[in-house]
Amino acid sequence: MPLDPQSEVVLEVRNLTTTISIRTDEFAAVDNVSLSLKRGETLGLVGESGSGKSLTGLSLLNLVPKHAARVAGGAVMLDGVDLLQLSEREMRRVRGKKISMILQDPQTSLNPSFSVGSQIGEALSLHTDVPKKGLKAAAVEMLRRVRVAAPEHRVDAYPHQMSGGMRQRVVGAIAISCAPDVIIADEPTTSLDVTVQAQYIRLLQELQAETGMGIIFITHDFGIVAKVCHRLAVMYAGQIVETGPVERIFDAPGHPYTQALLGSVPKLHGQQGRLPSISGNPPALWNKPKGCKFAPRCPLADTRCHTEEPPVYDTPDQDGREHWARCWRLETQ
Amino acid sequence: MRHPFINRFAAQSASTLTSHIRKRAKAAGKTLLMSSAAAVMALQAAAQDVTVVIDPIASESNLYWETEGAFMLPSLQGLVGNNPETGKYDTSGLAESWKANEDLTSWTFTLKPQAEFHDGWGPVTAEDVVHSFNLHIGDDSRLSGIGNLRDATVTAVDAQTVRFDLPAPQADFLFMLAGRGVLAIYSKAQFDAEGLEGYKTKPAGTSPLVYESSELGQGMTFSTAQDHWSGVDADYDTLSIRFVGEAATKLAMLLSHEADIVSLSRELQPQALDAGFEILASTQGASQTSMVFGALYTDPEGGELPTGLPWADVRVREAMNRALDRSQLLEVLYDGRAEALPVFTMDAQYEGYTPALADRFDADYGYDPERAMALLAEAGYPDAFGDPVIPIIVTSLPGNPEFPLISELAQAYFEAVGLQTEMREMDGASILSARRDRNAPWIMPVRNAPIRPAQVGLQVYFSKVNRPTAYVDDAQINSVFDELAASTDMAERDALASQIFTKLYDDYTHMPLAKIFAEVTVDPDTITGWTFPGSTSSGLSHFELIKTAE
Amino acid sequence: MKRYILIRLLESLAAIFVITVLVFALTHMSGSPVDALLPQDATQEQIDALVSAWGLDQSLPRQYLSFLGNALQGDFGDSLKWRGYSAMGVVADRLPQTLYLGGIAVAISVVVALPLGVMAAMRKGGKLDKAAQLFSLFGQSIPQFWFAILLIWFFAVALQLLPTSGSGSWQHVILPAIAMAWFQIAALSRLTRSAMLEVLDAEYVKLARVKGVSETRVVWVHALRNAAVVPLTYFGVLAGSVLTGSVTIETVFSWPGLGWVAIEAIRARDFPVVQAVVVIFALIYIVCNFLVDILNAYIDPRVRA
Repeated sequence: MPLDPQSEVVLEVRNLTTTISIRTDEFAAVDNVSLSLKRGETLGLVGESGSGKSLTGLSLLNLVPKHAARVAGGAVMLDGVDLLQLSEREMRRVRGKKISMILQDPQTSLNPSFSVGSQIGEALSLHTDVPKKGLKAAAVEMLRRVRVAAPEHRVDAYPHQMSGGMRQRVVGAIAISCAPDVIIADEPTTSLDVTVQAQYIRLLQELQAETGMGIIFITHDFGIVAKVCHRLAVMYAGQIVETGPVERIFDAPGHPYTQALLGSVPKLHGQQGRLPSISGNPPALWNKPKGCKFAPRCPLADTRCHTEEPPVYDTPDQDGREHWARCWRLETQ
Repeated sequence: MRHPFINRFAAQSASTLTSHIRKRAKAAGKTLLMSSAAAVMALQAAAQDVTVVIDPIASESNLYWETEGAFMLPSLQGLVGNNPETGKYDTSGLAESWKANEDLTSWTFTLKPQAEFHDGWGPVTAEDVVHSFNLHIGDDSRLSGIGNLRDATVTAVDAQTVRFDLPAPQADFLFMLAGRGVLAIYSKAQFDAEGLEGYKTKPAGTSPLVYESSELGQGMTFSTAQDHWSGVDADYDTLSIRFVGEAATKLAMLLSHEADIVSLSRELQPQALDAGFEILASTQGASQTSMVFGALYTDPEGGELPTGLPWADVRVREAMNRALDRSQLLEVLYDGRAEALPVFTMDAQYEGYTPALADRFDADYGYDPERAMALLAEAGYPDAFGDPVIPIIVTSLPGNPEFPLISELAQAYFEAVGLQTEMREMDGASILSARRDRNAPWIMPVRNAPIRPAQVGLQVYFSKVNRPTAYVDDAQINSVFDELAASTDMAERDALASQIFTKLYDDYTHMPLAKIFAEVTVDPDTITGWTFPGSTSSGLSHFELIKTAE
Repeated sequence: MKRYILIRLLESLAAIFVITVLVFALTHMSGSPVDALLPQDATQEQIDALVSAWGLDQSLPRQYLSFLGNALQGDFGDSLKWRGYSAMGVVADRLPQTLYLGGIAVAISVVVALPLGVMAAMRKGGKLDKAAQLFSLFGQSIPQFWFAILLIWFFAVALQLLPTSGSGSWQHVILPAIAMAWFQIAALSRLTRSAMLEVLDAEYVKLARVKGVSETRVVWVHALRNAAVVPLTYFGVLAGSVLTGSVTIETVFSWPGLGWVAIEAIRARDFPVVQAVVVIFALIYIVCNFLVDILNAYIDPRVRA
């Protein structure tokens, strides 16, 4: 579904850096990441596992694992407020209300000890003025909105009494319950089977259409990206190596990594494709290459690629929409 | 309940800790402790309360006949008493005099006219004795030794005179009525008014101590009578007897001044002594210890005789006796506070005491490993015996903490002279069961035996009367014992008992170890003395004679 | 749920049955009960009386049936030590003391161990966590009776703050309760810690945070509710170890409860009382575990299914 070009930016991430500490050293696992998201827009965040995309998602909520990691720098502007400057207390009022997240595994992301109704109601009671008595009715309404059949009946059920697809809808219901501006969906369909996946994606799109929320869709599945995303950001070794409109990237990927990822996806809007395996492994956190991070695996790399970090090269499309990539090869174009 | 090692371990750690804590306490606030101690003493001066801590008693009941007779309430008295110094029968009980007929079948007691019960239940009369006797021989009586009294007839001759008629002569009848007695005198007047319930809640006694209350498993409290009819007044106000089983706890009670007198196990006594506490012993021996050769049966009348036991040979028995270094044993077991014992069951307080045996003891039984080895060689040990291995029983019996240690030490001594030994662990019930089956061919320590009249002791351990559980069953001894049991002539009885003791001695029929005393550990700040003869089952008596510091 | 309770109830009954068989076998373990029950110098009349009273001349199954019949009515015969009381009377008389002491000990354990375990998990690797681990090691490795003696030595002898032993006032219960709770705190806090660590890593805890739930609520409601199953299950074991602990603790502190009765009865060879104590201990243990199972089902909806 097309995005209104006049839509305002709701989330602006600037130079976000999150470090992971290993013993006494700190390493940037999210490295100077900048993103923006418009109302009603879906931004795909794509990369191999370990590329830092999930950590980026958690950094936006300032929920990186304590002790092990910390948000070291940058800004996350949501509706003009820098979330990284908020106190934990203030941040709690933002989480779940203005920015929310759908976790990867519906099997484990619901608390087994509480009924689904109470888990939906909890977010409502924290962030809205729905009275205690009305929480259950509100939860039923949420379940209805995520297309759970017989919600009056399901509201008292426990997670273990539900199927995986239904649980993931409940997770979705929790995420949208307070009508947030932004939802981060971290591989929300990975553990669902194909038909359920399709239903769930349709659901997300419908909900987006209803509420106008911005979605950051973290995935490694280009097939899904093609279906749901307006724009794409490709991550490698903690950096965004390419970003731009989906069709543009599919048609003319700027970065060899993107090209390699797209290698097995035949065509846009075609059948879904999985990330192809690229020879070699992403670099370890503590052993990143000096130059282009992708250089050791890049078939096109030359000496400069190995020694000097490439800058960002803008290649906007005819409509002037942003498209850039980090690759020396673009210097000559 | 617990392995002795653990006890020792606990004791040691406790001792290290005490000294550590004491040092710290000294450093922390000497003055504070001293002032609180002074406060405690001031309190005691106001109301003298003596707390005695003893092991929990075997059976708790205010109805004496429902117990085994191990502990008589200090408020109760029998007809005959024991002299606190000599242990001999005396008139410190309720009778002022007694006499027996020629053949010792009829005993007549004259009660003290001034004797009276507590709580206003009136004077002690012959009716009270008859009434008490009837209660004591009832079906629910569990008193050990009550069998000796069951067939007696008791008659109140007049208010102050009571006669016991027995079906057979009983030379040791006074023993039954004295300190370790089987007859405590209760008030008939109280029974008529209140029934058994009255006895259960507050039995009226006659002694200088008045029963106040008891708490099941915890202890009992007595007050002291003012201007008691006996002329003996305790010099304190109340007596609390508390039951505590754990040795370390008892020591703690002493150290924290919660208790004044504690029956402390021997392992912990040194620590109490180090901390300035003192040990008081009974004036007379309280019990005897010995080891026995199991199944020393030679009287075919008793049943099938055992064969092939190494110690059936008197030379082996002498060798085993001479292998034991008794002075060292007594030092280790009793810290030296014990006397050598020539014959188990023989004591100077009673009939048959033969001083010559004590004199010869060192020559005949003295530690002499070379002689022991020579005797064994002479006997052809080990080759002449099918199974030369000597089994030694290790067991733990409540009240006999030294048992395992005795067995371990004996094993070491035996092996040193070339005897082959084997330790066998057994529980009390299994041992008893084997003995009932006359199948106990092994060496073992004997349960600490209270010192009793010769005939009583001999009957239990060395006569056919106690078949099959007696340790010695010998035709000659059996026949002399029959004579002793039938004899009513005191001089003749003495000679017969002496004859048996000499035979037991000459034949090396057992391994006598020690005469030991009843001991309590006391706080010298509050207790200055206590004279008791050690003649009761618990060893403790004459509580009214506890002397307290002013 | 009803079905679940029914099954657990049947299991409990089976356990009780097995225990009666064991208790019955106990008397026959060391040969004839006569040797176990009667003193060394028992007369033939006493032996005969016991044989007929216990039906020892009948076949074992018959003996067991009459034992079971009496036991079901709480009749284990008369106490040999505490004259004038029935064996069950002695037990019933002393039971409240053990429940009182055990209850306080369990309360102390829970009040100390749960927060300790939770906070150690929250600050894994921190000072509190290390202190708690050291405490657990200490608590679980020193023998209970020894620790009890240490307590007496320190608080009663050296400081003279509390009585060494006995019962009666609230001061008397402090030391034995702490001695009893000590080991439980060690075990329970360690269990709580590991259960919490596992749960705190769970996705649903992350989701709760994503929802904007406060950290306190995340830990004490979302995480603990799930982690609680582990310490709760241990609660059944706890009940058992409080009972067995009562034997040591009550003896050391002369606390007149069931454990003390057990030891005194064994010392006095009071077999009827020993049997009654064993059966009551077993019953308490089984009832506690039954309750724990029910509670588990209540807390964890998955168990109910």
